[in-house]
Amino acid sequence: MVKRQLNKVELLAPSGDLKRCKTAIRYGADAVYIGGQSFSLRSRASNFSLEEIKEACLFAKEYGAHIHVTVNAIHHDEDLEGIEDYLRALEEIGVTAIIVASPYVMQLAKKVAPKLEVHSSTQMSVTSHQAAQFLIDHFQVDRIVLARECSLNDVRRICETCPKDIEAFIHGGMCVNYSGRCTLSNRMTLRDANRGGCAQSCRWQYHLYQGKDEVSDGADFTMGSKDLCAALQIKDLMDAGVKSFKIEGRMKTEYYVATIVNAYRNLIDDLCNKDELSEEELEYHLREIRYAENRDTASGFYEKEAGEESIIYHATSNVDVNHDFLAVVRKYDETTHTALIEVRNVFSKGERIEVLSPRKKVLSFIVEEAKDEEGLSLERMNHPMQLVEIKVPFALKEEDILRRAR
Amino acid sequence: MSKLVVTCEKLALLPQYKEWGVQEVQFALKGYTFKGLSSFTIEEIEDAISIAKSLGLQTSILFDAILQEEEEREVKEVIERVFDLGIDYLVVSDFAIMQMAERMGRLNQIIYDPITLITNSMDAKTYEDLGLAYITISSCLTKEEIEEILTHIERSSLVVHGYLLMSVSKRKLLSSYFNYFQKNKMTDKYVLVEEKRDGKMIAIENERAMMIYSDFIQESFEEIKDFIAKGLKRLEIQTAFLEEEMIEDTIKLYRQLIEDKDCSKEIENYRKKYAAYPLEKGYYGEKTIK
Repeated sequence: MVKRQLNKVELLAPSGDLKRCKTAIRYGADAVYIGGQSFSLRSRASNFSLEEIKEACLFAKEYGAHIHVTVNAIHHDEDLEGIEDYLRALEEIGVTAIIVASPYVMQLAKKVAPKLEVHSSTQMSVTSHQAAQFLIDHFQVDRIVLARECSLNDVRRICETCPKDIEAFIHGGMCVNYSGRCTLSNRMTLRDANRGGCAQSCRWQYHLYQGKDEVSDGADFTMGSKDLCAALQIKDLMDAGVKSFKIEGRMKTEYYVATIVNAYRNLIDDLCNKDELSEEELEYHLREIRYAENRDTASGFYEKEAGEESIIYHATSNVDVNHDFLAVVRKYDETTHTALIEVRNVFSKGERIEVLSPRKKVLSFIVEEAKDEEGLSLERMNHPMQLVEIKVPFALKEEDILRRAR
Repeated sequence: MSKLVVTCEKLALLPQYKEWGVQEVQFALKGYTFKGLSSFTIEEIEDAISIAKSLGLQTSILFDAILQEEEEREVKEVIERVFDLGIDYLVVSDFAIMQMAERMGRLNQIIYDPITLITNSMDAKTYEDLGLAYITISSCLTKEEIEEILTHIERSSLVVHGYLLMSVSKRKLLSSYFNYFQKNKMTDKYVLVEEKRDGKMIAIENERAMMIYSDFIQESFEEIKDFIAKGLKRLEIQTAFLEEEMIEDTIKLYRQLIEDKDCSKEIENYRKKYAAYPLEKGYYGEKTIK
């Protein structure tokens, strides 16, 4: 069987439902990874039915993109019921790859659904080419997803020697512990971290004692990791030979998906097309990425051992909400320069607004006129999902996103 | 026949381990382990292995760190040296070590212990079919789930007693904390207590990682006979943070249980003697939720 060969790098985006999946693809993802309603790791992500996976595959095909499905829970015996039929169905409906942490599922997929690529999950903690080779030799994996504990040097050497494509994380949440080898959540909440129930107990606050003496100042000990942002390392990762750049976050919002995919799409395309980016160009890309960030970020282990600069030592390490996502464009009338928009967050007349449009540089305008559906003039747009008409001095497309200018 | 394995805290205890009823002693290799407070250099282990062999004890080396690419050459040499010592088994959690061991023709001496990852019979069987010596089943399973896995594999291993390793971070989280708040780190062993809970979890930092142990001591006195009946072959007692007298009493009690003796009185006495310790059944009766 002829496997897909990646000649160019792939931007791999997360998605929790069909809407976010389509958004990711429209904004430039080459592939999207999604979870089915069983066998996957994010039990609280919306997750896709087989019908929805099929629709995602058809939509992806229109754009030349691919759908990867996570089958990466650390399954208990009862969880494996129906896995064979499920793998066959995924192959049948056009899924490109499955992401797996179970050697049994890897072998089973090769047997019952051989057209599916098998990608080893980051939970298999691959930090060396020897580990990668073991998975290739024994479980016939087609792609290795690296552990987030790899340094740039590790990545370079693994890419040099590994005969299969390498996928590396470039952005998003990081487990502070080796993925798959943490049961803090299991113990403290009975929610199984390895079956999609992780309560992120590492982000809680702890007292620290030496013997019987408390050495913390109250419960100020925490292990909450900053998110990964490898924007400054992408060029090195590309040069090393990484074929797929993965963004974490199947539970993130549509706005997050659009913003982060658009930002990395433009950055990767610029890096592919130019020898070097100017400081101004680089700052533009970093600014776009920062729009999506809702936690502090660091470069993980890529540059050096992740030390205190990689941990969030304040009590709001789980803050993940901002109010920048203002509206979605439903229609644009070029003759009247009027856009019909669906409001998401509050904004006012006179505010500067930016337009996020797939594969385009960001443009901005000031809201000078706004009306509701009855034609009444509005000063403040503060009803989520309300349809509002605003004047915009340049053309917009359906599904473009309006955000607050920072 | 099922065997009793103990992690070695003190080399001087080897004769006692034998006398108390142990059949295999596990030594954590300094610099290459995520587990165990006590670890030993190759030189120390070399001497210990001679003694263990003379006592008729089997030996294993705990080499459970996840290695980085740049360590490959050094690690390969260490592993060759370790096998040359004449050990019976190497306990690993990284596929890289399995790959190296396979190339050395030693895959049949590998015990795969990825702490949390062996949670179903199909995966356990798949790993066993590679020809590994033993597969260590996750301790985060109910008794019924463990028994189901035991019926599918021949060469099973389980941590039946001791504090359980709950998490491993490559980040030196204790050092990071003390650096960030500009405090002096006085030791590598601290205790964590979550702000809304009471459980005391031991946190250890070594040259490789920061590990957190459970706030309870797993015990399996009532379950052991059923596990053995279902085929459990290797019963591991993790002795880290346990006092010597408790280690002795624990080993002796499991020895009798393995020999199918009625130990209800001894179990009751043990629980009374160690009532101040957080002995628990762990996940045996409590299923994790998704």
